Amino acid sequence: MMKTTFKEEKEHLVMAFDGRLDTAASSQTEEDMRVLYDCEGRDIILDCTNLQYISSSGLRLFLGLIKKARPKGSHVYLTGVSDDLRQVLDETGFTALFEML
Amino acid sequence: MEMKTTKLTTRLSSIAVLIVAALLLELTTAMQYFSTRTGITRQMVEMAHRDLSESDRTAELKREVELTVAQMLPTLGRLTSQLASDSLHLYIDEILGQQDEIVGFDFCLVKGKNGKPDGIYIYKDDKTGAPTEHHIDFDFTKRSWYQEGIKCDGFWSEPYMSNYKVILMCTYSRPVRDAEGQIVAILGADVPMRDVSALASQLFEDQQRSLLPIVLLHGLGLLLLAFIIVRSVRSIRRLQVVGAEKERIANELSIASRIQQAMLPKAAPLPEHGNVELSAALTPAREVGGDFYDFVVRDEKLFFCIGDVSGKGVPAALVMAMAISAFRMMSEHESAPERIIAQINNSMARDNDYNMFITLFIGVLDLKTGKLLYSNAGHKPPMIDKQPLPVTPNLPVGILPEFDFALQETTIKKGSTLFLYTDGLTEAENETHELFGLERMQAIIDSAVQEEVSPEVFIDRMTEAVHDFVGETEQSDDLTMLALRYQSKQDCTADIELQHHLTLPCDVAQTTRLGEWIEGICETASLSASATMQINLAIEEAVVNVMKYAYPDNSNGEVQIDASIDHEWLKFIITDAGRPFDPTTSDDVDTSLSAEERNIGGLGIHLMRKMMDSINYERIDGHNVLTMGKKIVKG
Repeated sequence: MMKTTFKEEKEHLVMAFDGRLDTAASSQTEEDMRVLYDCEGRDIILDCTNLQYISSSGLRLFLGLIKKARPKGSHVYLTGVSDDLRQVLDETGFTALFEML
Repeated sequence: MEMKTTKLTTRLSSIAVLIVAALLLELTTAMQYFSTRTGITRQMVEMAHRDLSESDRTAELKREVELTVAQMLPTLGRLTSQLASDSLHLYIDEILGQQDEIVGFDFCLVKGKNGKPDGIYIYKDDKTGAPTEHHIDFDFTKRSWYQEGIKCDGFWSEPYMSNYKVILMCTYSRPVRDAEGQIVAILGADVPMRDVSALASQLFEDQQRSLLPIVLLHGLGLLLLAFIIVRSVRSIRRLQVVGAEKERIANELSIASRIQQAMLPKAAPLPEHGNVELSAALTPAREVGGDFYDFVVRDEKLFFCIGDVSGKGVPAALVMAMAISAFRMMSEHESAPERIIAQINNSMARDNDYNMFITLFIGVLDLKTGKLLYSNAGHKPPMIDKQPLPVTPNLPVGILPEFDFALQETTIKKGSTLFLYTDGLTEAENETHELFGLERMQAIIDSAVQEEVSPEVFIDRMTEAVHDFVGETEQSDDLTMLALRYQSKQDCTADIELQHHLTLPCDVAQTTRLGEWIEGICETASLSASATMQINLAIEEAVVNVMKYAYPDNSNGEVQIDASIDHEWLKFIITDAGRPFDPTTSDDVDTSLSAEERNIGGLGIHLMRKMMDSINYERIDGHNVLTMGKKIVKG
């Protein structure tokens, strides 16, 4: 199960993930993340503190977000990345794509 | 070939120059010899003829001169005592005028005006014949005609070169005495040696005549010599340059040789895969060669190949390097040997301007089941134990693009040895040009198989047999051998502690169940949370792949997942009845690309490989069977 929380602040947009971002959850999460596409140059922070698991489907969502946000001048930051999550990001080369907070 | 022709022409022109030089030398010597010889012979003959008549003439001449001088002496003695110098001169002039043979008289007073010897020389002018008087201005007292003339009554001098004319002269001299018998003067009559002089001048002229061609020939010879020397110096210099160049090439070749050897895998035992032993040896005929072998283990399959590039040396080595790297690259993603061969063939045949080709055998051995898939591109059939492996020859690689290479299949029995070789083995020649041949090879194989020797011993025995056969004869072709023995893994069923099964419908939403099921198994196996997450990720990716690609039309297919745990491994077998789909051949993702360059896709198989310790795909009875294993590290 996957739960997302979205918070719009003055300078940036924050989305917190809670649960498992697997293939089963990915289509709903994709819908949830659409709100981030309207970033308009504001930075985006993805809070992974409670993200227990991410599969390649989840990584694809993250990659899709970067491709949408960057041309608008927004940075995408990850925060609260656990060691296991970090390993997955490292193995797939995603560490280099994001900025870590 | 071109270099060879140049070398030949250089050598031919050198020989030509030497021959011309030798001929010129011979010609010069011969000409000199013949011209001198003919000249001398002619003179000798003439002289011989003349001698017969002239010996009389000479005696007559001698008598005549002696007589003339004898008749002159009384008158001269008187005129000298009277100091009648003018009369004396006139008298000598007169006698000279009457004489043909005498060209001049020397008249020397023993005591002249100063009490010292004083002399005149009266001779006939060459043109007018008139007597001309000349004061002798050299020290005539040293001359033999004077010294001897005083002592005896009548002396013939040796012929000498006249001081006044270019002519050989003899002088007959006698002392002139006064009334009391005292010597007052010396009279010398100069008689030219006309014949001898003629001979000398004749010889001189002959020599002058033959001088020009001889000088010319000598000049030519010297020029030729200079040419040869310049050439020699130049070729010595060139040799030095060529020597340095040769050394450089030898040096580079030895480096190339080392690089090529390093390209080959070290035939060490494969510790991770205890059920196969492998040994290989490659001996190039020159520093580098066109033979190669390779092997790599991926997803519990042993990919191996042996190849022989047409030709030898550097050209073959370049193609070999291309082929071995193509094999290595393609075997990373492609599991079907005929497709690996086809891809190498297509890339090589496309621009094969030099018509190089490779005979190549590629095998893929399933280390779990002993199933061997293989494809052959014109290579010699490998031996399976004592028998040749049945192979379709197909075509060598690089000849025909898009050629359809046949796939063949067999199962290797436990303990069987597969032996691959290049024709450098069977065609190894001894000093009598006899070939090692299939029979000798077969004999070694028979005994090695009988004794169940290891691949290493197998290769050693074959190498030894070839060396003994060939002896000191230079190796004519590259020689490569590869032997592998399959030992199927021990049956592990007894060790299996737990078995689980899960059936999932083809619905991505159902994968949530998968996560819970895996977590339960990992807990039983006491795995760490990290390992659990990794396994979860890999299995999920595999199952999602099956749903997407094996059942693309979202049919009512099912995915079967079996898990088993033994003391060492946690194994998952994912089976489906969908269309053939081999995730292990999908292109791996390039994780170094930037976000903009990245494609969404390819991450699944990448994660499966990274997270698991083994992965193996098989298509069995219309099913895709993917086996993945994780080594158990208890958490």
